[in-house]
Order: sequence, then C-alpha cells, then structure tokens
Amino acid sequence: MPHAGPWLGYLALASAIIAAAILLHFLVRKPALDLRTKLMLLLGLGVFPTITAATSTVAGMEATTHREFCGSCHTMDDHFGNATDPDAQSLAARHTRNPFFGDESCYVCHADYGMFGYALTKMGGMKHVYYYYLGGYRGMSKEESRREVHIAKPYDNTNCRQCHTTTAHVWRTVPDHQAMQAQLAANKVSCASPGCHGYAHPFSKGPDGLGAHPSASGRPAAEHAP
Amino acid sequence: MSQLDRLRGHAIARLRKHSVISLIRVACYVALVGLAVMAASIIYPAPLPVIFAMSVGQVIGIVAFLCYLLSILMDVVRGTDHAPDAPGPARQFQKPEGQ
Repeated sequence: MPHAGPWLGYLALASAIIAAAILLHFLVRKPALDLRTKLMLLLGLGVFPTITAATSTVAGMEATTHREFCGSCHTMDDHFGNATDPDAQSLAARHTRNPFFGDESCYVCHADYGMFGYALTKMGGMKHVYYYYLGGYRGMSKEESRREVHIAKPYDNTNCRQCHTTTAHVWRTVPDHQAMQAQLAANKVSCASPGCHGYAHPFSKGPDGLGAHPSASGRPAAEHAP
Repeated sequence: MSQLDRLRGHAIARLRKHSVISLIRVACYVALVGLAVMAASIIYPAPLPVIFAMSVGQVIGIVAFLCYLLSILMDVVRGTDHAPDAPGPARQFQKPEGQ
C-alpha cells in the first residue's frame, strides 16, 4: 500500500469537523428546512461523512502497517522490544533499523506476497484480533504468551525474496545458496533458520534460542513472528 | 382501486405520520456518533478503534444518510405540509383552510 502520509488523517479529521459543525448548526439553530438547508444537510450527512469514511479507512489501513500497531498487544511486547532494541542483533532488529521500512518492519516482513497478499494479510490480522480478544490471548501473561503464541504456518521464503533477490550474482555465488536452491525455493529450508541467517525472533524459540516452545494447549496459534 | 394503489396509499399514510424534521434530527445525531467513531480511529489508531470505525462506524454513517434520504422522500411526498415541530419560519407550514 502506498504511503498516504499524515495529511490523510488530517483530511479525515477536517471533514469530520466540518460535517459535525453543519449538523450541530442544524440541531442548535434550527433553521428553516428550505433548499439551502437541505443542501447543507446533504453536505453534512452525505458528502463530508463520505470523505471522512474514505480517508479514515485508508489512514486506518495504513496505521495497521505500523510497528507500534503490531506492538500494541501485550503478547507482542517481547517481539516489539527486541525489534526496537538498538543493541539487538536478531534479524528482526536489524531489519527494523532499516531506514526505508523500519517503521513498518513487522508488516513488511510478515505480509503475504502476491496479488492478493494485502487482502490475505488483513484477513490474517482479523484472526489475530479474534485470538486476542475472544481466544484468550488477552488474559495471558507474558510467560504464557511466549509458550502459547507461535507462527501459524512456516515462514515463507518468498517474503525474504521480495527484497533479497535470489537471481543476483552475489546470491548465487554463495555455496550454501547454490547447494540448497531447490529446498529454499520449496520452503523446505527457511532463510531464517539456525545455521543460515538465524531466527528473526530468537528469544521466542525457547530458553536457548534454538528450539521452539511446544504449544501446551494444542489449539491453533496466531500467526506471528518466525 | 387496485391492490397496488391501496399499497401505495397505505405507504404514503404511514410516511405522513412521522415528522420529516424529527427524522432529520435522528439522522444528525446518528451521523455525529458515526463521525466521532471514525475520528477516534484517527486520533487513537489501536486495533479495536480502527476495526470499529471501519465496520460499525461506516454502517452508522450509512444509516444516517439513509435516514436523510428517507426524510427527503417524505418531504417530497407530503409537499410543504410539515409537522408542527418543524423548526424555522412558519412559511413552511400550510395555511389553514379558509385563510
């Protein structure tokens, strides 16, 4: 999604304020219901609210791509903290320090790639909200969430390859890349695995940072960090 | 009188019972709630406010606009014969018979 910038939020607020002013004027001053008033009400009930709805939707969708939005649930505190730690050397932290997309590092790395990637990612996000508010994650302690919350499906190497092309000469000359090209393409081996580039969120892989916590409940886990 | 005419007459009679102005007022109050929900999602972009604004907030806004459209329809149907609680100058009201 292209960056809309903060002006879209300002536009949404401005049109909401104008619409509210028109409506309050009608409710308080009680003008005659002539053509002029009807047209003003058309602006206050139709045109400006439509602008507010459209711009707030775009601004809201963009807000969902920000790292702070992902970190607003306490179950993501550790991931957020590690990603924003200036001293951390995890894949997540190093990508978050990238000046080009660091503010949206969670979304950029976890969004599904492809034509319907944006829509699929947002649908997956709704699952996260469901798990958080209705699936019991909201009441979990941090320790419980570290144990229970895991990525829903194996991390797709395609997401890495959105930026890190596998066709460049420098990539192809790495012996490990050459040897595992087929496995990497088939997602049999993850780029973010120990021995390769390491886990993106190593603290979530058990006390030693190597093995994943087994899910105690066995219920479907919310998709999150690898 | 055909069945269609009877239905039409019944619908018009029902529309006449309700005040155009009160329906517009309802539309205004409902729209203000919808605008507040959408503005809140901009000021505080947390998961629930954003989802609430994109779903419930927009439905509230659509309901308000539909109330306004219905009031306009009622206004067209009944002409200038507004309800007694209509705000503004009395020129909107029909003059009583014989005046």
